[in-house]
Amino acid sequence: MVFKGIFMNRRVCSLIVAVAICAVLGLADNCHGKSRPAAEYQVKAAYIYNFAKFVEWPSKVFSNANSPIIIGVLGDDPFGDTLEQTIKDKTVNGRRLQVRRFDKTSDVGVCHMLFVSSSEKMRLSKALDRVKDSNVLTIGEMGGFARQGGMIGFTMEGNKVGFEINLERAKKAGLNVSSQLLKVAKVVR
Amino acid sequence: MKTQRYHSYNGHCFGAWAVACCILLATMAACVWADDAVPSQDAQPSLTELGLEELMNIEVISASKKLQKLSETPAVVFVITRDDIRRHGYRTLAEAMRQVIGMYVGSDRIFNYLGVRGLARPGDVNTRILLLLDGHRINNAIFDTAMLGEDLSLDIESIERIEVVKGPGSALWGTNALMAVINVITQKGSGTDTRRTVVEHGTHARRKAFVEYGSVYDSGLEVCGSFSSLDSNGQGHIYFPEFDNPATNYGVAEGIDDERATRGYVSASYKGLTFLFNRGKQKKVIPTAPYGGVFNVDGTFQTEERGFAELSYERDVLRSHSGKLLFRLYQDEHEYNGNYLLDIAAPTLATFNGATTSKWWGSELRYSQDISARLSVICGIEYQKSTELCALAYLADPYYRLAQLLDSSFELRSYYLQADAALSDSIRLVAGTRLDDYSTFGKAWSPRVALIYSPSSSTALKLLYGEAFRAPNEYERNYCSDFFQTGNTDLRPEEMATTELVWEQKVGRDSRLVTSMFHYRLNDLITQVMTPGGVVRFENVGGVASDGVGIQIESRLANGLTGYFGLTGLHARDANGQPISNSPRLVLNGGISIPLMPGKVYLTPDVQYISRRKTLSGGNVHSWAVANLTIEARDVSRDLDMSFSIYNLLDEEVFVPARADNVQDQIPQDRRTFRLQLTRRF
Repeated sequence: MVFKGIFMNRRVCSLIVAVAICAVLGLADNCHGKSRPAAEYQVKAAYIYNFAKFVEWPSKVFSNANSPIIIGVLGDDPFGDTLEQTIKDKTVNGRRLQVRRFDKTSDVGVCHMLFVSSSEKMRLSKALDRVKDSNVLTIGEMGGFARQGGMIGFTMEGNKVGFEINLERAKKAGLNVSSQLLKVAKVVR
Repeated sequence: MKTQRYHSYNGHCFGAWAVACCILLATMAACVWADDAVPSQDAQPSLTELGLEELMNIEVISASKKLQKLSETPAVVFVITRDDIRRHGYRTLAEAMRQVIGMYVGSDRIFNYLGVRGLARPGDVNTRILLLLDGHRINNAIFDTAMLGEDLSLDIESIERIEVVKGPGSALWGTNALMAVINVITQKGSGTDTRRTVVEHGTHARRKAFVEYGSVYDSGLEVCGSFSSLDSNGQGHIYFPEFDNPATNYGVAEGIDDERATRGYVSASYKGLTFLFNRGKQKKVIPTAPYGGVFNVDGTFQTEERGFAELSYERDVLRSHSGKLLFRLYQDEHEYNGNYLLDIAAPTLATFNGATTSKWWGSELRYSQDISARLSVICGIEYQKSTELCALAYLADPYYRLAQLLDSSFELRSYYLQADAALSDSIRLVAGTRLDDYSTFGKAWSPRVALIYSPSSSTALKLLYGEAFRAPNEYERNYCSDFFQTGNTDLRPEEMATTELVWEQKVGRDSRLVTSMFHYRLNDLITQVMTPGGVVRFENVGGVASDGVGIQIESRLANGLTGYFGLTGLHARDANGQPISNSPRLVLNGGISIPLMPGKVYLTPDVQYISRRKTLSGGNVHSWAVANLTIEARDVSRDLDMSFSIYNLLDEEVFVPARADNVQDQIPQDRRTFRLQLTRRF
């Protein structure tokens, strides 16, 4: 039937067009080296690595010169394996870095930095209480973290990641924050 | 003489296909294993080598925070990701639904019907499911259709993820959200893998070409656009025993299952301002001869065309309290055309045409804010108005008007409010309601309450209650014909109340276990009844009640292995306690995606089992289990992906209940089909 005849040609045509598009675009492949925006959590993981570099802990929190700096993650982990990949084979002042995950506040064990996930929003005060006297640098990304009891809170300015730091609280926890970090952070009370 | 035997596929093609597949698999294997030296992606500069100032200046792709907060939502959310779509080889949204516990899909070779919680009335064009595209309602003004097949105006390749919430959603979204809310999120410029062309070739000469381009510019402007064209011959020989006699080709419909679809989507956003544009047109040739049509004659088909444009602006207005304001303005169009060849004026064939057009526009203002650390609120108002609603049914040649939509228009004003309160550290209460004020029938209230107890971030116990409604649409209210249908402007909305108890448990780091029990009651079902005058009319009669229990476990392991398994027991019955049609007692979904080479090659089998279901005539569709298999190879060579899928792997002969306008009792689904897909990134 005439109907089927038209179909025949349509199919062949569309296939030719599709192949042509592929060929043309394949030949026009010139996107090597074009930088793409980074993933949010890759940038945050890089920041966490930097926090480890620019914060000094009292020596008593480390059992010896080789014990690692432990980064704890409390609650739903938004990093996936990005955090491990970022700190792999890196050292800070001769110490390696390690990631430990805690499902709930009562699970929180020894760590030097604690990323409190937004999933703990309703239980924030309990989480922060837990590490209050342990020289732990608390980091979060929920709105107003550095004002609600945390020490470093990630912020989003448009689509760039920044951070706020509550210096008083960090000092009270016995942590020495390098001026390098203070230069780029927003200091809040 | 035409063949009498039933061929499930073009027999002579199978041999060629088998050979082609073997060659293809061998090629894929060779490429994958030989090409290890080529780096698979653009090497990401190591961020740890950057200084703090540089880190501050990097533009990032925002992770979807919603994905992490699944356990916090006042409902159970299932997410199907782009990765799942690739690995399972889903061709349409309908196919992707088999990954959601308790959902089952069937096709009557015109439309894809979705069953949720035991409700899937034959002929219902998914009016009791709300389908959203980036938060924009797809159900149209005249028929409330939620398209899930190739009739959806968006190509599945443009989908970034699908968020499915089973249960009532009217408290936030209004009409149609009775059984489920499906929100399809499209790829945006800032997404991954947004520059590619995809070419597909499959059984029944199914060919598709798709191209997508997405980008983020230095100014922050994000753009993404896609276009696709699909053409398929459909199954060449379909056998229907009800037509098995010499006059109707011994029951075989030959070469009349064609389908064509053209779709496009554009999204652009800049500093809080977003523009969306979508248009799609589909044509489906109908082989089943419904409405007493003539069998096995090419010329009965329908076309669906759907489009919309939306402009929205979102702004942070009160940073300290996460205050956000959203304003939306949108315009929608829908056009349906049915062309049916009827035998009523034999020996010539009469053509029955049904054409409907609907256009409407709307606007919404939404505000959300944290009132305190323990209380947050969302409120909004929405306005919708139709600008054109017309439908006409006529016999062509000579022209004779059979039916039309009488003087029809609608106006809708909606108001909604939802509060989320933390009663203690582990107990949360979410309560809200929506008022929809229709110019057609009046007001509908949809309250909902959710109590969530999370003793830890890995456990959530939820008690949910929600009321939902479906407003009578213009087809039900105003479509009039002297011959077969009359309107009913007194129709009230269908109303439903659902109670649900859910336990969500995170198992280890990578798995989630969900156990749920539900009970719902759906009243004032809008049903076609025969009046004494011999015409049909829609009336609020009947109801459905259903209980169910389900358990599902899903895992996404770090090594790339993903899997899901779900079992649902259902017991749906009508107002008299009788079992209803197309409602199985047991649905089982399961699938696993195995990384044969992590990040590069995935083997993904999946299976769905649906137990016996009643048909409209009182007969039964036997239980069936259908398996599918897809093997996907990423970066076969630089920037090239390949995937090969086998649908209905075991070539099972399965059926779904037919609708009332069909002579047939049940419609056969496709037998084993294949698809080869090539993706070229640029």
